[in-house]
Amino acid sequence: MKDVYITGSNIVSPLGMTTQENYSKVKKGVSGIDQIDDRHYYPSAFYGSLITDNQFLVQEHSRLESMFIHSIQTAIDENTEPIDKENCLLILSTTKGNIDLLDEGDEIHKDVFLGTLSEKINAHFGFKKNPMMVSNACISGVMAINMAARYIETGKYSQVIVSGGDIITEFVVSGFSSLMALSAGHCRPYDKERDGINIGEACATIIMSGANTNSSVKVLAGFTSNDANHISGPSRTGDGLYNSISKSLEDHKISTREIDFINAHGTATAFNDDMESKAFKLAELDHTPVNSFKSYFGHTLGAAGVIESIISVESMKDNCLIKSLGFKQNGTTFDLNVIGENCNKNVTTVLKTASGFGGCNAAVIFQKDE
Amino acid sequence: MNTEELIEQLKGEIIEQLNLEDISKEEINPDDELFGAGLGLDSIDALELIVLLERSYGIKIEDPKKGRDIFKSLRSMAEYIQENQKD
Amino acid sequence: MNKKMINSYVGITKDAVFKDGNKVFSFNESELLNENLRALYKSEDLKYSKFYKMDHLSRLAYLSSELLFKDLELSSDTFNEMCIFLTNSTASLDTDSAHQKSISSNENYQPSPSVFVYTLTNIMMGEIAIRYKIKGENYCLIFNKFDAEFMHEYSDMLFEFYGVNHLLIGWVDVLKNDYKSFLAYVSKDMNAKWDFNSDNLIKSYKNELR
Repeated sequence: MKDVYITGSNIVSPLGMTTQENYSKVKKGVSGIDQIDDRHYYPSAFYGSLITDNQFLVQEHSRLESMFIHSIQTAIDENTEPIDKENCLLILSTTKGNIDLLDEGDEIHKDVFLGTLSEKINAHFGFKKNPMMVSNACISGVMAINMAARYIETGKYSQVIVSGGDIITEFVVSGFSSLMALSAGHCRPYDKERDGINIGEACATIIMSGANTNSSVKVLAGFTSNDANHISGPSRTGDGLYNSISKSLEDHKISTREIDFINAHGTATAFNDDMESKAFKLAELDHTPVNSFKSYFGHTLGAAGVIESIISVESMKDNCLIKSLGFKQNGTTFDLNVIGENCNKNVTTVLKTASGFGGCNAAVIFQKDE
Repeated sequence: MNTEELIEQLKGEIIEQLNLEDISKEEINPDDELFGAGLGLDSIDALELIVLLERSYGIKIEDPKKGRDIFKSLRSMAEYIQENQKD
Repeated sequence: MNKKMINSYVGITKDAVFKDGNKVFSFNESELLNENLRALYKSEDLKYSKFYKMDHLSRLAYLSSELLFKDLELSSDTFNEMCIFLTNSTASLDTDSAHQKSISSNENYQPSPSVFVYTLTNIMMGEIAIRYKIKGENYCLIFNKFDAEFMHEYSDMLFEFYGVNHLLIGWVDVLKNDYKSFLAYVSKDMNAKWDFNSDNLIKSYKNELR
């Protein structure tokens, strides 16, 4: 199997338009979450993470398309190697795509179709290979990264661009509100007083390659799994996520001791965070430093796996454990070692996990290339 | 409306709200557990019952955890409605 | 390299239900999707009350899986490690439209939790996983057209390099009264009938593989 390297990345979010801007704000403890009081999104005020700097908007493209285009282009411009447009593969990840173009009428706008969205973005960049569109709830981003890494390590492709994005829409806010899943304020992953999620919008891009051109980070592809328990409630035992984690570690012969920190899903719902604590306990990772980035960016759905992976990698390169914003006191079934304050630590290996509606789980590992 | 009449009405309403198409009104025992062993309802059903309470009876439940007791059985649900109904 | 084989496949179209290329059930021409799915559920004498809570996409996926697996006598271990890999073109738009309608009027603003949970394409995989206790890898991707080459290439990789021995692969697509499903069970069973390759995948998608 070939090694897989990260050669470029970008984040478009309320915290900035570049990876560096975003990481620097996260390191300073800045959150993109604020109160949103706008009928366009919901009849009453709620807390979410909205991009207010609209410099990324591209004419004749939807909000989400603009985010994808801006993010992918910036990642390409800063990539450590040129993009081979004939042979590179584009894998997109989104849960709802251009759902803001859906109205109550019977005709569905053509750009709402996710296949059309992926073809549009692919055509914009002139890539010759057919694109892929992953839409697998909140694990989409990690799944897309794993698929990309697998394509490279098996030699099928030597360059893959992964980009995940979702926007805040009334569709999504009203839906999570009907599930009584929205927090009344800033979300508090793993905390005793946690009361739900904040929705966020973002687009994040990772470029991966089989060639080590000035890259310092490797991607070790992980596994997905299904709880086979309930379509929206997490597993009561955590064994689905545990299976993803243990298979991923086993496949790369990495022991739990080697994991320097875990960036987990940590949505701040009562059930998700409890489930994760059970899974980490089963995996003997309950003493490993763990954080969630949901209180910096909100839950960015299809972008989550990608944006959170990038920040995890940046913190690894920076040898800094980033505090899990919103956390004060352990409140999960099993106590976890939640990172309470930023601290310096030599970081070589990071485990990233994600879980989602439909009972799905995924894990991926990032490692410094020594 | 007395409790028994309300229970009958609720049977019809929950069958519709929760898509319990293969269950008839006669099969629902008002004292059986709605969740767990009885009708086997789940967390999404609990949320739909909260929607039903607000839409049909004007009762708003802010904390879903309160639902456990209110929705223990059809009878406890009917009693709660009678105690709290606003129009 | 191990050979992978298509053991069995099921197809549901607007007209009929096919198993391994043979028509096993005909739909009433004038009936809508909703009625056709109920008719199929009743004709198969199924007793799975979760069916009534599902949206159209999940009902179609679930029914296809019941028809596929019913005669195969697969063990619980097989299901436990099975990988599910589904694609479609309409994502969850059929149910998305219902949710959108429920929030389109200020006076009658009524988003429903039981509708909203189905506004993700992969829920249909979750329903199949719950029914059969399938806990292996799962993938859900969206393409405007069925892409047999991509599906075969990625699946083959899963078998070769990523420990997959049993695969449920297919396409389940619903939008209003346009619908089509195709599910196939692929494994390393040398006694199975058809080679697993992209030609056979297309043929079985069209219910023409015999």
